[in-house]
Amino acid sequence: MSAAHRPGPLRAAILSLPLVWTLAFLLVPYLIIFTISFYTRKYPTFLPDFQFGNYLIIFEDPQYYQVLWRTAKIALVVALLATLLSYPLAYVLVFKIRSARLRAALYLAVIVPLWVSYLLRAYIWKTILGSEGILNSFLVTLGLLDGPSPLFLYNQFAMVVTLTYIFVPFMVMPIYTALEKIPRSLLEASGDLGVGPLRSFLAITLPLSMPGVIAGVTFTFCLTFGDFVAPLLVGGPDGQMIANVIASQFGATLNWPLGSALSIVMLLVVLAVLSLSARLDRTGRVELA
Amino acid sequence: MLQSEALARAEERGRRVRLGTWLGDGTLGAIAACVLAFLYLPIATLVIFSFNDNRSLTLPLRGFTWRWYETLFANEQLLQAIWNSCYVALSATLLTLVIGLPAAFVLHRLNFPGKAAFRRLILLPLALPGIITGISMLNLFKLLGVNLSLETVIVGHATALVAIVVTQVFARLQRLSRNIEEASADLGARPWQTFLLVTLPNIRSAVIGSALLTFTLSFDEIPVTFFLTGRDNTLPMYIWSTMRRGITPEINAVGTLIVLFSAVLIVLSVVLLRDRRR
Amino acid sequence: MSNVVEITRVGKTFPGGVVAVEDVTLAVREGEFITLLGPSGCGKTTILRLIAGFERPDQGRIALAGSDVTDLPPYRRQVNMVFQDYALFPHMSVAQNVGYGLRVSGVPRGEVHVAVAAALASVGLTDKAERRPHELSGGQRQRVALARALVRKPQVLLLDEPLSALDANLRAAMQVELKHLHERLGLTFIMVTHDQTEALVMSDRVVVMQAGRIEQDGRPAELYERPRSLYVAQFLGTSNLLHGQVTAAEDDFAVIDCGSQRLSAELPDGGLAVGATVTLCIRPEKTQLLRNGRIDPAENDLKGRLREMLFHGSTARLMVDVGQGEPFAVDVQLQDALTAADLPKVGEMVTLGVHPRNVAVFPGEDRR
Repeated sequence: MSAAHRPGPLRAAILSLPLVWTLAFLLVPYLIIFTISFYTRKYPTFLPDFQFGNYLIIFEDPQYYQVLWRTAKIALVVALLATLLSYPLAYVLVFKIRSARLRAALYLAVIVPLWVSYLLRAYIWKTILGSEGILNSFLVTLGLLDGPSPLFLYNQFAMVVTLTYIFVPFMVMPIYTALEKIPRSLLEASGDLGVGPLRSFLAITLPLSMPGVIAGVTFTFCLTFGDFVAPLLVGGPDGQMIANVIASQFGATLNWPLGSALSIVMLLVVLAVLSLSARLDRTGRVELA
Repeated sequence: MLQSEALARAEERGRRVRLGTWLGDGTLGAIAACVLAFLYLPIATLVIFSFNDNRSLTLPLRGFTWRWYETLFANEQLLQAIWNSCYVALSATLLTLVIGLPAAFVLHRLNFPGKAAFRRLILLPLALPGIITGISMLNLFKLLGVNLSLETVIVGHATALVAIVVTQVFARLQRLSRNIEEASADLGARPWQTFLLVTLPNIRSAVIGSALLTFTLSFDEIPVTFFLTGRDNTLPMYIWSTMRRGITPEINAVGTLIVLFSAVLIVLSVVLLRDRRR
Repeated sequence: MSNVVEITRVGKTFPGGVVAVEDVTLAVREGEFITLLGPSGCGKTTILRLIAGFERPDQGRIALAGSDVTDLPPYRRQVNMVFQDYALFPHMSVAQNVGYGLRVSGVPRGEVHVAVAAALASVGLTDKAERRPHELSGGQRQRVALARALVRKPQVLLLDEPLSALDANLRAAMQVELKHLHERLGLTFIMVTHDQTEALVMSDRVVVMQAGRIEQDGRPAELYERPRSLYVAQFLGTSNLLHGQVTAAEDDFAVIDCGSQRLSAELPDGGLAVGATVTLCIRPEKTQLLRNGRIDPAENDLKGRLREMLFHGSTARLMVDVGQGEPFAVDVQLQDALTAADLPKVGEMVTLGVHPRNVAVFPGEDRR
């Protein structure tokens, strides 16, 4: 497309389609929730209004802010755990596997679970962790437990395990990409200058792979923060996250204004995390090329 | 005398370093293998139990059976749900291409006021939990008086997934040398000819890859679908409702089939995307 | 002979305030091989792209064969370009690349096939017709790019640094080949390069550019022997520079005092003011090593100490310290490189001779 000549009317129409779509289905809906969040609830629907009541409820009623806090905590734990598990895997793939074919095959093997239904992957943990599940049978057979324990399922532990499981492949991708971009010559130079492999890793590889880690952590945190499937399947009563609360506001509880306010809060949290991550990325960025 | 001593010491040091590296690599490899096993244990469980001749999902295993697959294929509702999912996924993918391709070009080639805001908006659903996209669009449809149906689900999926096409195609456009488009114009090709004959073939891999990914994600989509579904169910919604009622092995059978289907799709995408150029 | 390309008072500024081209007027005659020569950033490539239609001028007009094309897009202009990196379509075969221009213009398939075969034959690549660009060498890719551009029989062929991506040894051969191609086809060639050897070897006319403006425009020999500015003198060939003041200027000759040396030079048109600061430019090949006094009494003699001798095969370049600035370069023919018995040794005092007509005078001091 030459910048020198104006696009014709057909081209202008095609190019403005995404703009129109974004306005209609992204901007306007967000504005609508924003507006409704100030309305007053009138069973079974709501009245137009302008009041901060819904937001006050969120921050005063422990029922809500505790859930928010719990959700953030779980999201953070999941992000960190997933990083701890994904990083070595990505590292081995990039630096320790010599054969390009094997590396591609293993990388695919890591990615395949992502393409398998999320619902099913979460559901499977329900069967594994349950009282009659594999984990219990395994531990009882080994003699480590006298009888099956109900402690593995329907609590925050189960949720963290499930969600970490879901997000490990998610994290491997950006870390793998970031590690791959590091020029081997940098590590060779470090070795040549007499620095051992561990120090080289800490001084060169780790910092240069940070953009990938930050990207993965950001995604994992944000998506875990908004998940409502895992809590419903394996979370149990004390494992409910903010998304479940929001869902019920639009379901049985029929409190759309409150639900909208909670959604806006969630939106703000996610936006805050995204901009924090963007700022970190920019200031800490090391140019590789 | 001195030389051979120094040599022996150096050899000893070398042995120690090699042992250390070997141990370090070994530990690293072990951790990686464990993580990989961790990833596949649940999937293996799923597949094994789908053939297990036992209504409840406990050990020990009882015997091989095709029973659950047979029940599955006799299940009208399930088959209808699968059909619905295919329809939704296909439509949503086409829609994301129609919106996403121009969007990628606009972001890459044009400058206009509000470009940064547009970019952030269209990419937001990537990191934003689907529940927000679902709820906000639900409100929009309610306001407009539109009834929920598979079509509203399609619109929701397209909005949530267009970011995938945009990012992939944009990245590919960045790597494309502008020269070949100028050469095409120089040789007399009108802009639409340049787009069809030169630009599009060279971003083919990004288009196909993102289309496959979008299809898969749409097929498996839950949060947006949850809020925008009318009377017709998609496959995840059907499985969800079945799960609420209790665990049945048919679900394992469905799951195994989905694993197979996904594996086929991935292999397909890799084969199609193999860059024949370089 | 008419003007096939006319650029009138064209200017182009890029976003960010970079002035690429400023008030350039140029006319290219039909059948000429003209080269735009200059360092990177001088505007030469911008002018080429303006002619091709990839950029629009902010001021001025561009005309091709008499008609104004300033507002025409590239696909409506009868010019074709060979890009610096060749810009071959990676997803098409060589034959498809070459035939592309004809195909998009609606030429019937049979005709395209014939034309492509002829074009490939003329560049000697008939056996590579079904290959992909990435399977070819640099030189082969360049020939495909040429064939692709020429098969459309354009009025003007634009070449953007066509030889810069080639190996050094290939480059020399291609210089001659392109020159022969031009003579055979009789088309107008407009080439852009920063390599002065290419410009001198291949062109009918050379346009030297600096900072968006034309410095000098003429035949290669003219530019080489009669540079009109220090910039042009330095750009083409090697130059020795001496700074000094004019002490006398009469009877067609000027005398310039350069500190430890005194030189006479032919008065340039326009004369020189006594006391003016000037820079002198002397070419190495126009200087002789004087062994037994001057042969021509009108010659200048420069005295200095031999710093080093650089062996060039059939010639040797002597670097002589003349008491000012950089060492003075003198080229000497070698009868027998091995013995070189009659050449001075390093450290010896030597005398150099140069005729006043080979001393070019430019105003002002060259601040490096």
